[in-house]
Amino acid sequence: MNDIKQSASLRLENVSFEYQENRVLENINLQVYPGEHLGLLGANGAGKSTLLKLISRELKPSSGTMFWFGKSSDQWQPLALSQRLAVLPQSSSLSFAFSVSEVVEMGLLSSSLGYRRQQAICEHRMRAMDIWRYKDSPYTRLSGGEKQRVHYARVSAQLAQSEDQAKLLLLDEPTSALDLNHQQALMLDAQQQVSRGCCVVSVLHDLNLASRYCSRLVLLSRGEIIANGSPDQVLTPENIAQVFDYKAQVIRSDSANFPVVI
Amino acid sequence: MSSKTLDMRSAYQLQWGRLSLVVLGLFAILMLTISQGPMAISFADTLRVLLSRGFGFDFELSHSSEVIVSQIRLPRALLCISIGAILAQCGAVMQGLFRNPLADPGIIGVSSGCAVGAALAIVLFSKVSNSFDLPEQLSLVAVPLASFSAGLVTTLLIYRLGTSVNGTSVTMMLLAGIAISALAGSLIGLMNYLADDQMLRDLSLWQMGSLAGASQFNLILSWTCLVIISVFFQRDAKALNALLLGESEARHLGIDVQALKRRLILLTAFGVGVAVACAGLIGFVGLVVPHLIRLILGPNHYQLIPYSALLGAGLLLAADTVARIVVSPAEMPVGLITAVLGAPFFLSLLLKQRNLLSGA
Repeated sequence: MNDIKQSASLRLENVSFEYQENRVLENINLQVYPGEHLGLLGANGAGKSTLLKLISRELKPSSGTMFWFGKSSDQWQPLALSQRLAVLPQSSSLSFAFSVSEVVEMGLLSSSLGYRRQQAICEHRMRAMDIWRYKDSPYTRLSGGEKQRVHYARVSAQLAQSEDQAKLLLLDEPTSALDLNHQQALMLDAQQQVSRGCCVVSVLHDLNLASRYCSRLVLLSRGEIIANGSPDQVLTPENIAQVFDYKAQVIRSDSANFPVVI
Repeated sequence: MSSKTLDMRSAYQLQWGRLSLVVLGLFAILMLTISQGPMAISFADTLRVLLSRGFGFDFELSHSSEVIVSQIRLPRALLCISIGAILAQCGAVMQGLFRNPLADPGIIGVSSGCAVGAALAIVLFSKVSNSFDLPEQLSLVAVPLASFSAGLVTTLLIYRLGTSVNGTSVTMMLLAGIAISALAGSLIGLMNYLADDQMLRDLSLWQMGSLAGASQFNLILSWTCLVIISVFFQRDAKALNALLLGESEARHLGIDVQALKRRLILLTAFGVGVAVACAGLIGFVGLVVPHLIRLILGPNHYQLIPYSALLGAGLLLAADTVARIVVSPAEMPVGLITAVLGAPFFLSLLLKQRNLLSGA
């Protein structure tokens, strides 16, 4: 039992969160393990973003306990945790004309790696996100989707600096501004991170994207977890009707090995 | 690949060649400044005085030009350099801190806050020392200290008013600046009312900014301040870059954002406080200079801060020279010159940001 507790990248025990006497999250119990891609689903206002903010330590739970890689918040030095926990925000307020490569480099801000190694990481991440050709362009001139890819490159570079350690990548609606091609590219890259033992937690609105790329889904409704399991277990017409108030069909086709919601 | 190497090198390394070129340029302005004035002194003589003073060279020099250069013009030019460099760096850092390119110690009211503190100290101190017979030197310390404390309170107040979870609101920041400047104006008016004739003249000159007060104490104070804030600002340059991403993003990169903000607010208040105490209100240097550097070198604070310091020093030297020679042998307050240059610049920036402002 103790071993499992140690190996979970993230562990929430009876976590609740109140905001101005409103219960936003109620009694959340959740463990996420290395090699998992967890998708958080739910209607607007269900508490997905709040949960993500608790996990990224931006908010503190009103009650309950949380562990990152087996240690509580107080036991972590911010700098040490930042090498293993990275967060992709929904959007960024950056309004100064840094070049794209400067923004990506900020992911390695406090890195102790040598200069050549840092440079190699940044180049690799920029190529993977198809922004290498923009490396010298001012960030402020990019479109919303291109900016999102720059920030994904930045946070994935942040996690690339420490090898051989369990890591946690939080993505807040990572694909909302992206076109179809780059949506797939980003989710595939996240999948590669997972296959290397990273643990990814994403807030997603596109159920089919979640179904295809996440190994486990958590369905939130009014601050509570109402389903937690594989895409097949979670994406049922009953669950979708309960959470989204929408009559959906769930089908399986031969060409896709995941349930498709229509 | 090779061009990439250069790019990333430049981001977090000062290029010493380029930097020394700019320092050389600043030295040229310094020479020009010192040679100009009611009594013209040739470049060669200026250089000779500097060499004999600074490095112990032995030259035949006329007594008058030696006195003018070493006792009057050089101290004043050195004060220009330190004050210009302090103001420009504080402007650059405030813009990063507020995540807004319109933040400037003068515009958002920090300078006015400092001025109130300093004016209070000037007037009250002389009133009190008349009745209690305090040593004169105490006022030397009291003015900068009051200026710094008032600046600190003002910065904190404006920061609280102007920033929320979503970042800084330009509208709130500028409005807070107006309110504070108005309040400061009335308090300084009250000081004017209380002051006697001599004090009144001091106060009004000082409100328009002047570098004539290049006493030894002012020089030591401002250069010490310059060295301290330059070192700390440069150390925090990377963190300031990350702060521009947003506070939570900076936190996720492992930066202690609260401590960073506290440190930067303290240091900028210290810088502006010292600048105001030594030279009065000199506006727009902190706005114009970082903008020009950003246009040339980009927003990276690692480059922005040191180059702003150098350009700020050069600009204030030039402005002070103009102030000294336009109506020679009298002189204009330097704050008028910087305002004439800076106010149109500020208006053009406002025009550019008009769409953003109406949305805020």
